[in-house]
Amino acid sequence: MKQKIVFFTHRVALFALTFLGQGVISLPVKNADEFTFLGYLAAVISLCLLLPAAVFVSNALFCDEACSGFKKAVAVIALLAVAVAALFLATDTFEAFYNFAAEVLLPDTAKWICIITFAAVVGFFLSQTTENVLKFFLVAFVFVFLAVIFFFLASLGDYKLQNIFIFRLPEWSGLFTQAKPYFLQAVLPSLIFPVYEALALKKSRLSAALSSAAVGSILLGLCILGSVLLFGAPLAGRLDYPYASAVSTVSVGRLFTRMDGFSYFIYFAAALAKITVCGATAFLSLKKIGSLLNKQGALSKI
Amino acid sequence: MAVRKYNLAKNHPFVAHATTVCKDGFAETDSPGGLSLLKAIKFLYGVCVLERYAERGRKFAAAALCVVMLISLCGCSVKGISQGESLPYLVAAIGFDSAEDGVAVLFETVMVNSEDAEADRQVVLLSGTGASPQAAATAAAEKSAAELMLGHVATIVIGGGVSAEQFWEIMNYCYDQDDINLSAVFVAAESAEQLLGCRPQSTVAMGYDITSMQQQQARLSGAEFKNRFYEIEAARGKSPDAFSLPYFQLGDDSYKLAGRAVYKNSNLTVNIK
Repeated sequence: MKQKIVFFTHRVALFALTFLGQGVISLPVKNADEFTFLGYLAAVISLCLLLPAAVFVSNALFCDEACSGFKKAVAVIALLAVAVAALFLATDTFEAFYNFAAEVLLPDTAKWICIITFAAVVGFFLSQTTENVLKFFLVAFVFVFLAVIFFFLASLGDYKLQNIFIFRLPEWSGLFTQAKPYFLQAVLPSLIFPVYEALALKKSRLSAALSSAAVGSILLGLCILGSVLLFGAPLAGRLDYPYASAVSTVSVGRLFTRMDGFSYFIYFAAALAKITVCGATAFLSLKKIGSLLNKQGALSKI
Repeated sequence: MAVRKYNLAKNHPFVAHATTVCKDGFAETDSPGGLSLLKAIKFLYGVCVLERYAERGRKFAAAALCVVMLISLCGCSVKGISQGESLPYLVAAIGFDSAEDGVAVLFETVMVNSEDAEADRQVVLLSGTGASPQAAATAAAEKSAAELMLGHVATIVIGGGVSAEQFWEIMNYCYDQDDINLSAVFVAAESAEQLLGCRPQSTVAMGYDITSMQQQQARLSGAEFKNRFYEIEAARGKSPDAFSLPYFQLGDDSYKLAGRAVYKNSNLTVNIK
């Protein structure tokens, strides 16, 4: 009997949320100018170029069990680098969400309670089966998607198009400066998707990686664009939490004011997705290193 | 006999699986018939004993997760109000005037009974002066019997005597108060104290009345103002900064929107009626 369960949509949802990560909390960053959205687009274009290479390398290095000594050595070094990077990204995301939670969500609560509750949730997710995790994040993604679209449309009347008008072409150095935070906080971490897929699912698919990157970049783009259109890039950059500030101005009629409470789930789900993926990737990388070295091939064959 | 099963379906995220991968990303695993005796014993033990506890644990964990998510969604602090502790005052408006020793700050506060929103509505004006807006605000807050909640500030009134330097300090003070919403509106008046001391016409507090009147005027005359906090703050970041605020004129216990107060480099330059 053949059973075929395709989790393509689930994976796209999970990775799209991972792409949002802590970027939805903190982007755009300080020193943003009129080229900030152009910088974001440049970073997304670089992602389109880097992602196929990451998928190819992941499939070549991490999927094949039986390989030569040299290939194993390269795989071990690459996996070690991935594990360190994934742990760093998970910690960075945790810190960003924790700071946001401590300052905005639960300002009067002891900080250790914020840490313990979020860490407990992360631990719970890491203990679940991949199937359960994917199902939860698919549901979470639907809510996040609707919330982002709603908040973007709800502020349409307040947007000032002149905030993104560009009257001169940027210099390369200026564009690079603006693209750098987006590259570091959104593009580079998303290269972990193919590695996670290769390690957890035994094969990384370019279609899933590109689809998730496209959906994630559109959602994050809407968040950044909303902040910039509303506040202008300099003010959006000066704010600690630009998107949270932008959605706090949304009100529907005279009754529904301060609707930013609905946006808090966006940050929660995005941070949780990124930490879960990065944590799992780090663990699987270390486990894979162990299996590669234990198959008494690696060190002896070098 | 091999059963084609997608890796994802039953696997733990941290467990590496000894499966072979087909070209389409689907893996082949051994059928139950191919299990060794040891594996079969482990399987039965897991099903009969551990699953029961695992199921309970998962239900508990799911319930705990729901609670955590609800807390994160509500966006409010987990802080109970004990018996005898007074309810916090909602601040509807903040006024700034120039004073002899610096700046005078006025908080228009509303106390709402949580059990009966229509009853016991008390509007209290708290004032304080100080060398800086922060010092003046602290002096005003010290007169309050309850905590002041700035999250509901709808209007910020700038008095006519406020200098450019003081205006800059006021903006910095408001910017530093994370609770003040960026959609609060700034208005100008000859005296913030007198404007906030008027009797509200349509709402419970002048802070809300002023925004209602501005919206009503915008509907009637088409006069639009870019006077929300973030619009003023964005204009202030430019050089030279220039913006206009709705100017409210005071009568005998009444007020009306009389024109615009135009600011350039944070200085009141002209009142246009």
